[in-house]
Amino acid sequence: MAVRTEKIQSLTGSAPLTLPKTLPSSSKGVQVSTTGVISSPDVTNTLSHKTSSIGSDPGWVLLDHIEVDEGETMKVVNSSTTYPASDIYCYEVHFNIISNYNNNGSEIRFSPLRSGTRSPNGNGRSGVRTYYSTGSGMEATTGDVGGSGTGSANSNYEFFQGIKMEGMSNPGLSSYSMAFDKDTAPLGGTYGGDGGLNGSFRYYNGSGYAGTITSDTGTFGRRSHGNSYNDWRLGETHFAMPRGNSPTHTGKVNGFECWNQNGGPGGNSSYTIMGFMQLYGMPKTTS
Amino acid sequence: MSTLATNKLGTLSGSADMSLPSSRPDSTKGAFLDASGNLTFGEAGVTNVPLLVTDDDGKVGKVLIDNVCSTGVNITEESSAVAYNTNDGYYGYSVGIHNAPDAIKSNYLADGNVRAIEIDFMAYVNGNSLVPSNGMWYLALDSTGSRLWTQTQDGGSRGHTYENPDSGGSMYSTGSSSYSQPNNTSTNDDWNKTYSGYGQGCGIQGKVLINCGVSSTYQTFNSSIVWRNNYTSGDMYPINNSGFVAYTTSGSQNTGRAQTNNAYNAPWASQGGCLFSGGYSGKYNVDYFSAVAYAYIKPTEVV
Repeated sequence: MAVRTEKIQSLTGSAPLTLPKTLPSSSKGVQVSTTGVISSPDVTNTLSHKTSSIGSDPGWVLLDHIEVDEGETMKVVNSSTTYPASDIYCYEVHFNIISNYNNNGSEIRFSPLRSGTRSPNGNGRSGVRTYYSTGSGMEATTGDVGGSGTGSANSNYEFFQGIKMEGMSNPGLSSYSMAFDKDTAPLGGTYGGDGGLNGSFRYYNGSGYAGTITSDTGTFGRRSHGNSYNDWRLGETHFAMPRGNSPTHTGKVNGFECWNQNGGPGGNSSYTIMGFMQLYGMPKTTS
Repeated sequence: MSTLATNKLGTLSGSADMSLPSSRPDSTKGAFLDASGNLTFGEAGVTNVPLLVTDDDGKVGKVLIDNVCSTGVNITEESSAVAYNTNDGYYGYSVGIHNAPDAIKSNYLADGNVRAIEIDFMAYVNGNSLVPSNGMWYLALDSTGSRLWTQTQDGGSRGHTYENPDSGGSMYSTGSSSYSQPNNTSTNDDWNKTYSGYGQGCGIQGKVLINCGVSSTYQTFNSSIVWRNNYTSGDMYPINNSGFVAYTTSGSQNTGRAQTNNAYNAPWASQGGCLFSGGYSGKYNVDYFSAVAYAYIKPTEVV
């Protein structure tokens, strides 16, 4: 087949292009760089979100993903310039949170972040949790909401969830990745529930009203330590929204932070946490 | 298609011979290049994306690993790999990593790289002589599709709780609950039971969430809503089920596993999915079944 060289010639001039010298291992999207290099890297076949066929609006966008081997806190932040906090109407956070260190019952505290700083609206809130207990079926508790200060103080949380801290040995669980590696995973332990909290929550990011709302199936975990089946809480869902008073903080939330009630900055350094958090956002539509 | 040999283009030489489209797209489209050098236009390539990457650093965080749909009761043996004895395999629908393409498995879903698996499922029980009035069971599978628990456990815990539709039809009764030690032998399934309803016209929808740890961090949960009969009135009610299976609660040692020193009852391989079935005594429990499974993985570079 003859190549129509006059057409190739027409590609030169102000926009010369460089063709790839190798082929991809499978079908990939093609991209052109600002220097005219045509390539088909793997990354062109990935997405951070799905896209609507109407107006190209995004669905849930994966904004941040962290995995912490051991630390004072865990934090996910929306730093996207394409989907800034002001455009996110609802967040969803998926997580597995494990807390050291002594097999006792404790709390994991959660706070929304505004401009990267804890700014909960815990005071004056209505907080309710519903859950299934293996001891007595469906139950509910009220309360569980915290303060409304600004900054990293331990008391600046919006809601919390009970947890049984892990107490593994031989060796101790010093990093999150050890728990998934059969060559390094601790062999010793005493009770179930060391996996801490598993699940997700959603957060309505309104200007006046903002707060946690129930997720599809809630979160899962064990509330306290002990050799009892009765303290497993299944499908635990949270509700923490203003009851009618004006919230202290009205700016848009750009992330979330969690920590052990006894740990965190300025707390007991033995109370560490580990795990992963993924932050998803549902942006406003533009069409 | 016209073939453009790039090694015929002077400084653009190489071995990447490409076949160019013979016509332009009717509107602006993406372009795709395959392993044979075919350059095409269209959206087909971007719809086949099983990975979700983070907006800020481009690392893979979530992977679509399986999608199973049935059009009727599965009366064929799903796998002898999950048989409870040598004479009888399990029937039902298996969902998990073992059904993913090999490239996805090796690049993103290797044991130790998967943090959690979430399975969204729904099922409908049309009802016939093959569908007994048993609950639906989730049987834990490893990442190869074989039964996860292959040895009798000395300990471990599993439990479930559910609302009771027979307490006068109250929407929110005090519920019921039970829990026990999983046995994992020929007389018991190794995981969790839920109630898929009794008789024809029942249905269930819910989620399974698996923490894929191989230490005592291992936990797995189910939460579902069932359309279930009230025995007394015959009316049907939506009821909630929840359940879990976890590490031993007693610290007893599992002597059935390879490691012998303090080898408690955590799984020694990562759980990679579930078989949805009627349990060993009720093979055909679910007629119409659909499920989608996602894996939450360690932040991983795109391969």
